[in-house]
Amino acid sequence: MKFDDDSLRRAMRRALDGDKPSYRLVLDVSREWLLAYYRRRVAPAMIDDLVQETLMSVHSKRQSFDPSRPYLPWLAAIARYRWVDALRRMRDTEELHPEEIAAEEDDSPIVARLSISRLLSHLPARQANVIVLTRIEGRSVAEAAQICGQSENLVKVNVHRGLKKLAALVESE
Amino acid sequence: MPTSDDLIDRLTAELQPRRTVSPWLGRATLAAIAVLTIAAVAGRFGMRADFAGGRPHSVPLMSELVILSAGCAIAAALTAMARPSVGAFRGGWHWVAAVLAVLPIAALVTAAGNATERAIMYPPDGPFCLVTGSLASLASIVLLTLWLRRGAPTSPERAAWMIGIVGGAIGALAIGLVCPIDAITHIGTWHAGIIVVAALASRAILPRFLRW
Repeated sequence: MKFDDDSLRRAMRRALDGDKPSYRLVLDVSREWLLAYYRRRVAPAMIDDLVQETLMSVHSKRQSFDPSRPYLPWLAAIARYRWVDALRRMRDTEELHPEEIAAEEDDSPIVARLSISRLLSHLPARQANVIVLTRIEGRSVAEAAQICGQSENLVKVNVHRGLKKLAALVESE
Repeated sequence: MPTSDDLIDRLTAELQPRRTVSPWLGRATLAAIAVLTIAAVAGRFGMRADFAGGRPHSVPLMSELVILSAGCAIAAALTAMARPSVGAFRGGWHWVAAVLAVLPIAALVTAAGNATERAIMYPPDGPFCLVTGSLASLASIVLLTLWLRRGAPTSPERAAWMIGIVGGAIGALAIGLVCPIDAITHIGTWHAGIIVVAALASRAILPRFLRW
């Protein structure tokens, strides 16, 4: 069942007054929205954890929702914060595997404006290329260095700087 | 990890009514702390006679007004950060903060062409203003940090810069009302320096307290 943003706003306002059925509705709809949101941004293995982390943030930070404003932009800001947090954790550890990310496009303008490919287009080519090679295609630093004609150290520097810039771009959206 | 169904069950069961964060309440509380800080500094060191008599000298008055207006604008943007929303424009504070650079720029330009004015830039008078003003900024910085933790600032680093600038502006305002020196070379270095010190310290220390 689809809910418009105004219905969600009203349900969240009731939830802030302690109305549990309204809150469950908000969380159920939020979970579906978040699944679609993260499906295009992180590896499938991470989606459920990230959705649950975001739902917990929605719960702990629900007092920051402005009942006079739409709900989804607020949820999107919370989701983006959790995503940036995941990007930062990923910067030095795990690898992104967006080849597993579902390819379907989401119609939501909020989701569309945050798409990862659009964000990558804001990075210099030398950084975007090595991020795609090492963090998206899963190639080694040595392979990426050979393909791009950069030294291995430069690849590492460009990946680090690119991911840092990517996190900053997501924050500033 | 439990399933998201389990989590939603638990979160729903835990739900309690909660009052929303109000930026206006945050601004009012900050204003009250600012007034108390200024009153405490003025009470301890004595307000300048020209300000107390209602006939302020032009340079200190202009400096106080620049700091006050920039501080108010950044405080308004900062308190709005407690309520996140994709699409809300949050970039204007940079330009307002840049306005504060008018003071050190004026100090440098003045000092470049006038040896007497340049001499006022150096100690012994400056460090007292810098230290006292920095200490005076602490209450506002602590209050803003605690208040913002109730909300959901999505850029802890940016929030930390802004908290430091606002806190430093309150410290600079307070010291500007008691410091007897009129020279822009003094105000533009040591009073504006309070804002720089508070902003750098806040940026270094506060993000870890603002993350959620």
